[in-house]
Amino acid sequence: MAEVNRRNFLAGLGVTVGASLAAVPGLPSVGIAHAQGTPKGNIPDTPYKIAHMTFFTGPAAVLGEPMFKGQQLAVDEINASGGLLGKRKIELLKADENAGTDANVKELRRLKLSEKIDFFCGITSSGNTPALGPVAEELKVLTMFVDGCTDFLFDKAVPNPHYVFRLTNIQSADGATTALAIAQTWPKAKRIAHIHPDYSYGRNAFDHVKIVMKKTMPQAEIVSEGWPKLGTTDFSSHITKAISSKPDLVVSSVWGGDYVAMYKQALRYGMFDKAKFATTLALGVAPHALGKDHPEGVIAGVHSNYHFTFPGGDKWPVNKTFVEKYHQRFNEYPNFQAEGAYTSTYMLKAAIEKANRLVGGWPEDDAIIAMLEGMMMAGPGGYVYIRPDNHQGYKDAMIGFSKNVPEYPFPILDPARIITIPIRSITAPPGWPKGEPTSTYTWIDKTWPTAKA
Amino acid sequence: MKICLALLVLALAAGAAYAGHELTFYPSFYPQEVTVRFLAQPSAAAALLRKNALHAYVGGDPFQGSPAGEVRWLASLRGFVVLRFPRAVGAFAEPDSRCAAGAQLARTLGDRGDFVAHPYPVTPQHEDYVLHYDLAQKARERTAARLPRVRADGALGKLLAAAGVPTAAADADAVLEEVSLPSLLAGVGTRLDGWTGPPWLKEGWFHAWLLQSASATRAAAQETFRRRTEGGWQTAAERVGLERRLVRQLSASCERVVLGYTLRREPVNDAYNEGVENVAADSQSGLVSPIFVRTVKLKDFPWNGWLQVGVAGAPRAAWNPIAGFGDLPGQMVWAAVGDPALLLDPDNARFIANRARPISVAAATEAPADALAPATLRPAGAPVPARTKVVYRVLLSKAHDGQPLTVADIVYPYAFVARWGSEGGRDHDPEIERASALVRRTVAAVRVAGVTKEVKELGDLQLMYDVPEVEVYLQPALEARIATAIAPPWSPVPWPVMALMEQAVARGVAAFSERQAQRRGVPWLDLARDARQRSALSAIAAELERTAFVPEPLRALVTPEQARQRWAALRAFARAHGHFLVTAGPYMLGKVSADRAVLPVFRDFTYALGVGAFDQYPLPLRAFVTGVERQGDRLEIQADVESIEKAARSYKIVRDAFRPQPPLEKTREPLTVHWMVVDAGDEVAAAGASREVRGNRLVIDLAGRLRPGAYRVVLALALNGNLVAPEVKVVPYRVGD
Repeated sequence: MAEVNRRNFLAGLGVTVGASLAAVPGLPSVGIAHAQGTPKGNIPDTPYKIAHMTFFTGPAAVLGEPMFKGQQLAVDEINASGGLLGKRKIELLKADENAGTDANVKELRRLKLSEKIDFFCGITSSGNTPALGPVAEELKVLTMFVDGCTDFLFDKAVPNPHYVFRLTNIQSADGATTALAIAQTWPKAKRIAHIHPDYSYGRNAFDHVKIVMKKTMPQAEIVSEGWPKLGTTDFSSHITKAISSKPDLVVSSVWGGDYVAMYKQALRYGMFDKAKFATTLALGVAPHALGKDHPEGVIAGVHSNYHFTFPGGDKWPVNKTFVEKYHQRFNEYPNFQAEGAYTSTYMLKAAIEKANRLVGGWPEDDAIIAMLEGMMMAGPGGYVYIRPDNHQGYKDAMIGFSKNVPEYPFPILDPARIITIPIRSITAPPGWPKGEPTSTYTWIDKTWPTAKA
Repeated sequence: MKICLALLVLALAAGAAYAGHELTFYPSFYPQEVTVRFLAQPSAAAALLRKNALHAYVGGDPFQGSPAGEVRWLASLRGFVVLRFPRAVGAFAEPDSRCAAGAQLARTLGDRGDFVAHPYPVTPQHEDYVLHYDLAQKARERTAARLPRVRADGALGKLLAAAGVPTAAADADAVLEEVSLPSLLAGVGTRLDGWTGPPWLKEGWFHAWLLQSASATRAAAQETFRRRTEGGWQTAAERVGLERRLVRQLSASCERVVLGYTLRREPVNDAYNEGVENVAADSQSGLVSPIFVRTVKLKDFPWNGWLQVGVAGAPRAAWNPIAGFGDLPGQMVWAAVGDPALLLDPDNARFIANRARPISVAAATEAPADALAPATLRPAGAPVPARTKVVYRVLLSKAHDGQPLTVADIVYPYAFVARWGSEGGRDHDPEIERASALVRRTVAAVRVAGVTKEVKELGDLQLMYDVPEVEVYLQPALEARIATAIAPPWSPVPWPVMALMEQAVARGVAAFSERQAQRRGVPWLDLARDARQRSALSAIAAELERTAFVPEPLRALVTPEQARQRWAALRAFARAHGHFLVTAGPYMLGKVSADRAVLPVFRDFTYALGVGAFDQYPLPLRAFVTGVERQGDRLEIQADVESIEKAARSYKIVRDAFRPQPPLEKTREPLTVHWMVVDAGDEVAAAGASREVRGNRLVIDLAGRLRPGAYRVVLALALNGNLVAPEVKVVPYRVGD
């Protein structure tokens, strides 16, 4: 592959930095508040049952509870305006994903067979989507996974989905986004230390950071790898190992409470004074999950590419309205799961309305599916597009730099330095053969040029 | 019988790699480290709390009137305020006059500060309050009487003064005293290894029994107490009737009149960054309970973080799991390092499953011949009479020395108490005898029915656990609630630690209990803090490893090779950590100094319970009766229920009309109405608990339960099992001829 100039290379990928909104002109969109005209045909007034399964207990409840709230907000809004197609009020059922994978599969069967649900939504864990996806297909349950972002779902578990969709960007986008942000921000960094959790997410993040950096920063070398074992609470050996390798940059995909424990320990060692720092998930939990002692100016990944402060101000009214309503209702700021569930619900509504306009009456699931395939919607986080071939949602990636501001008791992304990347630039296109470790990895490896060092 | 278990495998499923970032199971509980600080002065705790250097203080209010800063208070039952008449003379010679005087004084005092006027021993902090509500009301409503001359010291003297009651000195008719709950329970509770008891430890009628210690009073109620504790009833109404009769008999002489109770108020830091949330505390023991460390979460951490807990006073009790850890610092440390078979429910008097999980209770006639005799752990060889069979599944894990627990570990406590608790035995320790009396009297046999595999799927990670299923046969016929709590098969301490302690005691190095230590003139056994004992223990452990020692009762369950491995691991642990307090609990004993103990989390994936496992216990919710309607032989109850709306780092409790719980919304326990029907003579005609729902109403079905007559139905609602300070309703009910 030929070498290219890095700046041109990043520009070619569409990587931009600033406070701008990366819009995609010329594509059809359905606004989230899109008004439904008079529906065609007879619409039943029986409730439309949505089952929402996510974590209400356990460590992942920090993700799950906002996810449910996001859907609850959308459902309340839709019901307040008369329901789906103005007639069918949504009945929202909830189930705790913390019951375990086997129990969740049984619960999905029960929801379909006993509760007669019309739509299954939610799911936080990537351990659950590959188990639930095939069952949803078998049961013919229209399904929208809000998260559970593993590439494995549509690469392998459900390679030809019909009933199953997923809104979240795939997992590989986390590593690729962070790596491009690094290349954009600290392109001269040479000595790279890594600290990643010793399970598949960490491996996935490491792989995708590495392959993107190989292409964009070929001068960079990995000088240290730290793989904290599952359950590690003392990160000091990994921190000191990284520091002792004299890195220009430390990259990490440690998340949640482990990340908080790690950064607080790293503060004691002065790690953030000794090297730059980039993460895939620093702000990828919930806005209030970090304290103000979190270092400023680090590249702070936001899983699934949503942080409530972006697009900010009046630039994107859908987000402004969503954040205001969410905060008013729940007295907290939405995380990416809340935005995903909210958008999922409106996507369903839009698909039902479009199908009704085409065929009249209450549309069959197949008609709704046909409308979802290829749909692009303007959600709070920007445009999200459902690719028809794999039912995967794609939203432009964004990442930024942690910053403390007086308005919030937790760090946010620096509004002046948001990096956006068109999602098409960092995911394997339709038709690309399935690859190892992911299709995106092999696509980057085989098709991206290498920037000049 | 040889039982060899390969335990607890953490495995990668072949060919799959799809776990997301959101690993959804973290073994053990929220904090990654708990530091227990022993604070001699409450003022030191107050200063640390104000500096945000402490997250919680165990033992009471350290501020004592000074500004508290950003704290939240948790209230629990501290004790009873009683009026004691040392002499039955003069105006207070008769029980009636003493009873009336007590009620009058309670009325005069009223609710003040931590004192709640309540002239009845069963209080709203007790689960059985609803079953005594009418009697407590009657006690309040006694006719006015002359106040006695009362002597009181300290806080109670101030209480009298604040109420305008003059205090007397030597000429006093009565003495006002506070009987703290811990002092009341000292010497009657079982806190032995992984067992907690007795099953009625938190019930009001039992506290009433303990409060009335005069022999004449006890004698009058002895038979009722025996029937209540030995299962001498057939129906719930009979049981409740026994409990009410017991309290009545105990209160009849009014030599010691309960005037009310006091609340312990313990602060937790509520600051936005430095505070904690998700805190469960026991309604009676407060923060010094296992549920606290299993729920508390630092606000600045989704999980992990360094928890700082202050405890009143320096440790005095020795640290051994058999008859140690009895003081407040010890209880706090053991709450985290130990791991009971069952936990006490913080909001009622029942137990909740922890490491031993009761799965069935059934009537039986005998234990099979291959069941193990508890004293020898050898097959009995012939059927053993037994009327109750309890089946448990036991969550094993590795111990802190890296060795997986096995069936041998969880059955050894039965043999241990048989050796050390039997009166007249060579190795007898009176404290073990007392604490294990119910176990030894009740357990007929134990049988390991098998071991099943349980798998927890975490994406590409599979956690596999071997879960023994153990049958425990009990001699008497017992209701499930009692039967499951007596002697679950479990030990948080591996058998080598038990055996090491036994060897040390048998060789005169130390004694398990303080009493026995004093009697024999040896130290109180401490596995961690006494250098001389540690040295002796090291020498013994070396010998036991060399000889591959296996205690006699375990010789059919443990091979010499296995034993040698276990001893080697224990010794290696002791060398690395400087102590022998190896457990299979969620926190390890780390560094110990005069002013603190540091307890690092045991985040080992063989530990089957995880962060959030007890998240339904903080913030107990209440339910309220909004209407009661009679429909034929049924009472239909309309209710409001509370729910929690969490918001960022805070929460709001909201109240809405009750609607039946959708089947997929799992909560701790559905809304339950606890009720009893009493007749004009205050006798219990029927009693029960109902979760039956029709429409949006709970139903009490009384059809066929009552003879014609006039009754009162006393009822209270429990949401998620919470029966602390319930709203109680009394509804007239008549059954016609």
